[in-house]
Amino acid sequence: MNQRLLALISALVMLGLVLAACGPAAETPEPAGQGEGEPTEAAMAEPVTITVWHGYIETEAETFAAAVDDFMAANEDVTVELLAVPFDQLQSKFQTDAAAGGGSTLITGPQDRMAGYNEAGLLAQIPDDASFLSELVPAAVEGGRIGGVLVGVPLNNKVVAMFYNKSLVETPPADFDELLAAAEELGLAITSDWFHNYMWVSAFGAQLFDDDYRCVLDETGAAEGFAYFKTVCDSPGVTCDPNDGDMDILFRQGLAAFRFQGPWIAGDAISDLGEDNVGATVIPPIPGADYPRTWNQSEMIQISANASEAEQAAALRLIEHLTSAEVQQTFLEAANWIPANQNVDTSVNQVVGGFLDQVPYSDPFPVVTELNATWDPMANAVTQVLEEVLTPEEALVEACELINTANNK
Amino acid sequence: MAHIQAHTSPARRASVSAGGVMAIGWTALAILLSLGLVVLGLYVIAVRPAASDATSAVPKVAGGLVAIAAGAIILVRYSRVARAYSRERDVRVLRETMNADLVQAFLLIVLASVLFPVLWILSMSLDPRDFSRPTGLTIIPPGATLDAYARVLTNPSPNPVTFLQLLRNSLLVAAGTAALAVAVGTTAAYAFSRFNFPGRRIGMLGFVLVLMIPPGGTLAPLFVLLTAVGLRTSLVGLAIAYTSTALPFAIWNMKGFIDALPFDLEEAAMIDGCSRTQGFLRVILPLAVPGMAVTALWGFLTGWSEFILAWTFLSDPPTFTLPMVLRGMVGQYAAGTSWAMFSAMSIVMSIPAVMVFFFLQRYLVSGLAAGGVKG
Amino acid sequence: MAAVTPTPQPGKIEVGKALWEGRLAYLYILPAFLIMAFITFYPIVYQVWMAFTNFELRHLRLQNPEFVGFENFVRVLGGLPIPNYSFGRILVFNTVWTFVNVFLHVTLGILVAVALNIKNLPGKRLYRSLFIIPWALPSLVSGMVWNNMWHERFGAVNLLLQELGLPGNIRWLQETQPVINIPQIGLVLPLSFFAVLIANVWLGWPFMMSIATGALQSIPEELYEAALVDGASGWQKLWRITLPMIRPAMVPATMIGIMMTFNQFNVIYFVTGGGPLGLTQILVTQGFNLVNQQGWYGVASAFNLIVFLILAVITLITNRISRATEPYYA
Repeated sequence: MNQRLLALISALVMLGLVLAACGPAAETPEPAGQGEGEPTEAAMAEPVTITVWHGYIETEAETFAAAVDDFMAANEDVTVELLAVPFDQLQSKFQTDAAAGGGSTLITGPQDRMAGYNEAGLLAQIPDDASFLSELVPAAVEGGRIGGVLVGVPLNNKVVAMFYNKSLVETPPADFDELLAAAEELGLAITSDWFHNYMWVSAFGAQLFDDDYRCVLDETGAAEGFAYFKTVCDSPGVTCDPNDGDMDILFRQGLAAFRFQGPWIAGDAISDLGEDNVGATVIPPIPGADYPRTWNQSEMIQISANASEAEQAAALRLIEHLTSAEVQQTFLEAANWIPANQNVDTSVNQVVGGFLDQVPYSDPFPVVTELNATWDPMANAVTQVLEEVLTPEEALVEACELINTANNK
Repeated sequence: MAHIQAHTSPARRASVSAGGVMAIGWTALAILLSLGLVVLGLYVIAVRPAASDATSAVPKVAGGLVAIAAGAIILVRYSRVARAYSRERDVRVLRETMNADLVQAFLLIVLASVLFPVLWILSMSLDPRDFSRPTGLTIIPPGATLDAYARVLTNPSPNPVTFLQLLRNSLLVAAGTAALAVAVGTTAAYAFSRFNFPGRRIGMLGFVLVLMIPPGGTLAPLFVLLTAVGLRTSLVGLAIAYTSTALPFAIWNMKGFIDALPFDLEEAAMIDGCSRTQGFLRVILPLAVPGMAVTALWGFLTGWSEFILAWTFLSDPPTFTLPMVLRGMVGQYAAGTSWAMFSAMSIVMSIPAVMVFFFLQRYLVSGLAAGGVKG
Repeated sequence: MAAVTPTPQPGKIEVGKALWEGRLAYLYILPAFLIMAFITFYPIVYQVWMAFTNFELRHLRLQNPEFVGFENFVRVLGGLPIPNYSFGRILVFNTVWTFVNVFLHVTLGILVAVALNIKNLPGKRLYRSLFIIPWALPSLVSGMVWNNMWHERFGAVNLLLQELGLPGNIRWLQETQPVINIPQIGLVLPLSFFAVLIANVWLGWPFMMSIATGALQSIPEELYEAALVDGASGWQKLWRITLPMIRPAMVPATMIGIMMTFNQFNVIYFVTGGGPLGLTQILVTQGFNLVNQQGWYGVASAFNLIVFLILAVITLITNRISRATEPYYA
């Protein structure tokens, strides 16, 4: 018995030792914090591995990967590893990982997420004197600044405009009534979430936030905009659905000749419908009100605060490559990005030209964390209005209340 | 069939005739129905659509043949029964046939409901249309192709990971979770069941209470813990995290199971000179196989289809698991993934799970510590 | 079976050996305890601690969260600033969801098991093996497939209805007009409740069928023969013999079913996502959203603790009920 007991105990001790030995010698590389480089110029010569997490799919993902491959070919000392994360999980994955000391070296994403990362202290500062910044659109660069500190670099500009199927539509409609009349036969697909439907608010002169970043939709007359939005959705031929992908499919299949969407699906639409059949133009003005103004935002790339100096240096070189005129040109042609680089000739791409036309009729994203609290309540309000559960006034009052409570205003 | 002439009371005879009327009606209905089926089948075969597309003609012909066959079988069966009735005037033959066929009809309806989603997803996986959605209800869609399967097997994810790697990782994690749950769970359950030691009640209570805590909130602390140990980004860490949720059920189940095993066997073994441990290994373990099978199945399934923790913990594509990729194929931002690919992936992912399930099926009922069920 | 209160074990060792046996017992427990201590108990203790703080995402790195006492619990029960949140309504829905589901599972499972138990039934083995499929499929896959099937335009259900000539554009998952609307007790059931109910019943009843099948095997044949001699009808045989005899097996199975259905995350999350306007949200999916979407770890932990308390109460109640009926059939 005693020997048996001894054997058991020693087995357990051995097990414990083995576990302890296995622990710290974790094989899988921690992406950040393990870069070797010395904190000086020697970083140029030492091989460095950096990781980029992005949420791109299809055409955008391919173009991005190709650009990164070119970078690696030109810079043999840097290895770049890409990870495509489902877009809706990208933010929480990065936040959780980086907050615990890990995460990728670089992360892409829209501006509003950047504010959240910054508040959690996850972003590294980008040097103001970086050479490539001078080539970029100044307003876009300013969009990467929070509290005076530059934490993100714009890769492209994005604005929601109106796609139309040129094989079905000769000339795009001049105002919204014409659009609805045309849509009766040809179809219009709208995603009924908050992001795509901010534009009604601004068309009727309302505001989302006041100077204090309090939600003021209920006070400034956005209800009228939402009421109009409801009549649009009720019009024959118009499909409003919260599933973004399904609405894209309608356009790509030719079932809807008009679509309010951003430039990111242009590449896929072109491959489905043919280059000559995809056009983009300004969203027509609403009779009795103004032009609908959509969100204008930049796709930002940021560097994690967990990156070592060598990794940061390598990351900056990658950013320089991605924002260079040549690479931006590729993105323009293949993925229909509105370039952040001023020196790119955009006339070659009619689709992008259409989006550039929309830019004057767009409002920039407020790059503050308060925006984060608007997504859920406003999506909910949109559903309530479209389903006639509440009137627009009631829905907006409820939404603003929730937003302001969540933001502690 | 031996017709026992039971002596029935007048009251029973009255109810027999009510049921008998139903049976007669049923028989007549069945004969009419079978005739109708035969006619329908002939019609469907004769009036074939002009289209030469094999994938729509073949099911139609097959369907017609099935209708004719079914009609013929029913016709023969019921005409035989009807003749027996007309000879002996005993409704019981009719009633037995009716009852038997009603049961069959019920089971067939249940079967149809069980198979409908399965057939649907099979059909979707064969759909050749790339980006679009199905527009009709066909078992084999026009232009069926195994393209989606090919794509799933060669390029399942936008990230650089092959299908074989995904499969290997999933198997490792699931099997690891199962093994850990069984090994640790059985030993602990044995102790709780057979020994009486201080802290036993509290420990048992603790395990059970843990069973009831919703799993969602453990993400943050597990994340921090595994990162500290350095195991977070590895499959081992993931298996450990899964085991943490599978263990409470494992222990609870195994304890109940071992409770039901009589102590006499171990007692006999110990009288013969075995130590406690030997008694455990030689006597209990073989008997506990059904319970361990269920526990293993539970652990396997937990590890096989979980993706939330997986997406949060893992960042290196070669370590990804199957459910992570499946998750990336649906939802708002996965417009580019055709439903065919999603269906193909679902089916491919389900096959190993179903196989393990069938393999362990015979233990399932006896292995669940449900009191009163004999092994 | 009494899961909470341990019953005296057969063959207890005498007091003199108790301590020695205790040491051996601890050894057996040790691996499990070590592992569970780290990966199960530690996160729970951590969660309990988090529930009393204002822990959010930024606290994973930056600063220590502040202790806020019971504030999180009050907010969870009273109202959180997220749309469509009402703890009472979610709780009522969760309860209704659980009991309706388990009732349907058990009924259908027993019916099919009895049907398959008929002697010389043609196709018995085929049916038995095919009926297992919904149980065998990973619930992740089943949930996603059913979500797909309830799709308004391209889902199998609507397509089937169209083929049959019935109106085939029912907005199963989006329709916000409730089918059953009793807001006074918090019972608001939209169409998507029925959609996800059907999905969950589809995948849940084979489990009950298997348990019932196993239990049916142990019913001695003589009982039925005696009943036949006494002139019992089919119905009476079912009610008076079959059901009571399988009850000792079905009761624990029902308890398992209640616990699993109450926390059935996968099906609700993937089929309706909480439903239109949060109407099919159950406690665990709501708790998950608090972590995944809002990143409010402290509040989510308080939420989980409350859910745990509720489940503990339900378990104790069902435990009482089942033990109260046990001696009846001992």
